[in-house]
Amino acid sequence: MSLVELEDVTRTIILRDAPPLHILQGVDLAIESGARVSVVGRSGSGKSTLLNILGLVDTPSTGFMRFDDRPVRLMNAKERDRMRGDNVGFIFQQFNLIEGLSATENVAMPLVYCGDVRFWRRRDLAREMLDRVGLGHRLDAPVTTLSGGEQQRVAIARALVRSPRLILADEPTGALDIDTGEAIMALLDAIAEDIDAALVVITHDQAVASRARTRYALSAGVLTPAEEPAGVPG
Amino acid sequence: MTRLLSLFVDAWEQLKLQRVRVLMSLIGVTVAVAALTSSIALGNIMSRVNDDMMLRSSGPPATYTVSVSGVEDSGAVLETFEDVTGRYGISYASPLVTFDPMIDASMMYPTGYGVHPSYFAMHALDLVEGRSLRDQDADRLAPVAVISEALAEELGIGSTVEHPTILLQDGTEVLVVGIIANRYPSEASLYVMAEIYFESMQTAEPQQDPWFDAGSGDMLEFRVSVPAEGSLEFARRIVSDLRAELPDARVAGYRVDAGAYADMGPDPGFITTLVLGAVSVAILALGALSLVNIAVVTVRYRIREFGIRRAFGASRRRIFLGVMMESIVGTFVAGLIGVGIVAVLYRSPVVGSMFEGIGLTALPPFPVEAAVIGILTSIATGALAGMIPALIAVRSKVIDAIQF
Repeated sequence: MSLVELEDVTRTIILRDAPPLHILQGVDLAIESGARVSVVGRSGSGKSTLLNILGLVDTPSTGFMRFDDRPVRLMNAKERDRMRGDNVGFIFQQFNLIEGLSATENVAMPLVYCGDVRFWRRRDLAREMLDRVGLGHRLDAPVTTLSGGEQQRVAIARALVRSPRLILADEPTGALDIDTGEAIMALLDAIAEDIDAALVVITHDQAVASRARTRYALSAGVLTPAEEPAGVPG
Repeated sequence: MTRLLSLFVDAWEQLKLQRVRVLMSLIGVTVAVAALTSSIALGNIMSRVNDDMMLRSSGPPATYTVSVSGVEDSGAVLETFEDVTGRYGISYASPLVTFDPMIDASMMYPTGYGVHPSYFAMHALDLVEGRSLRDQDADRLAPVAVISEALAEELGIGSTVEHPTILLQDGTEVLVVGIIANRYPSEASLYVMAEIYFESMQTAEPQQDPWFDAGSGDMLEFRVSVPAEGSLEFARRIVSDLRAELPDARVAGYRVDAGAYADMGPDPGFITTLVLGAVSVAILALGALSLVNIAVVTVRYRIREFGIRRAFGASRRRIFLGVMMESIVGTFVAGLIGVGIVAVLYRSPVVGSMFEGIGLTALPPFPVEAAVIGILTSIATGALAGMIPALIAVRSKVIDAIQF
């Protein structure tokens, strides 16, 4: 049983004074629990839309999608929100931390919406998670005072604090230098491994993409298995 | 439960985050709630003072004055009145004769009242010292009196333990057996049994008569409190019974307690509340408007944040409630501060002396009703003012907001 399954999924945007925009076309994709998947593509190829659909933020225009073996079409908005909160952790290129909150408060934020006992332990859980990503010494620092690498670590801690089964990372190293980027990817891989989560990374960086066991390329909305890049170990 | 509490926690953290903005926008709400609370409190106190004064001067609902004139023998009238009220089981019934006793040692001109013991209970006159009048006092050779606190103070009477007496200008010595609380500041009143008054009037020469009261003539007045339900019918029966038993007398009755004026418009406390309340609501509306204004600007600036929250599991409803709750928690705290300020001011000596000025002898406790209305209004303002930014927040699209 796959964690997420897409069958012949399309995403089309109807524009008022222009022909419809086909962002995704006939996408077939299955993501198993604990999988390592990368999707490489140019800007505008539909990467982010694919990620939105996988993360239940957006819905396909046509085609069939299951999340945790449940047809997404049959879920209402509230169920999708709950499913997303319980199972998906997002990591963004621009970190998207909430300014004005401390590192701990940012990481604790998803736990405010979980509605169970973790709400009461949210600060402890956030601190544990920050410690795990190597930020045990910056727990109460406002996120604006952190370096790019540190901010992305906070973002990783936030994405993982609810122990999601699917981590969606959109250009996670895009705003970082090469060394920091590598360290971040190593951390992300290790923690995803630890909690047995599937990791889908969207990138245009071949080095980042090559860390994944399953690699895809997305071009003009069409998803195909990626060819082995020359000179980069698989 | 956890979900509800998490809503509050989230709102509180947001407020802390934007404390300067929140503070600025909430000052108006604090001021308005303080104004609203004090206007309700003031109206409430004025109503209470008014009721209290009416009770002390005119009796509880429903009190009637029954006047009997044209009969020489006041003793017979008193007896008949007692018979009639006794017949209907009315315990609150008393003659009420006013006169001007001249006190030898004093520059004060107190008012004298010839009454029966139930007069004190009927008018809620509290004894502060000694005892009240008793039925047996009517038969005592040495007249006894109950006097008001202010008169006792003027005469230098601190306690009734040492049997203080008052010497009237005609030489009559009156024993003071009790001191009652003032109905109004510097009230100089002297109460004796009505029978004592009539006996003294019959024995003394008119021109030397210390009890002489030119106004009363041969008219005798009574106060009688009847059950409020069907009070008019009750009073009519008493009057007709008196007419039947005193065929030569002219008997009339009219209602005198606060209920008698019920048709003459709302009480002054209500009008005060209405006027001040209207001003406060206007201030509150302006406060709410500035709250909405600032909240709308801020919420636009926070669209990205809402997108992030949505990505991490917050539903649309949760975002809506969250933004609204920020507004409610903010105005609730502002309201609490506003009510707190009024409650503290209420205890200040300045306010105390102000109330003394309108004839209040003891400051009543701060009206809880005013505090509750103040808090509820602030919460309602928060909910209304939060609605617009909450709608804007909930309409934002996650995808546009988080910009992958």
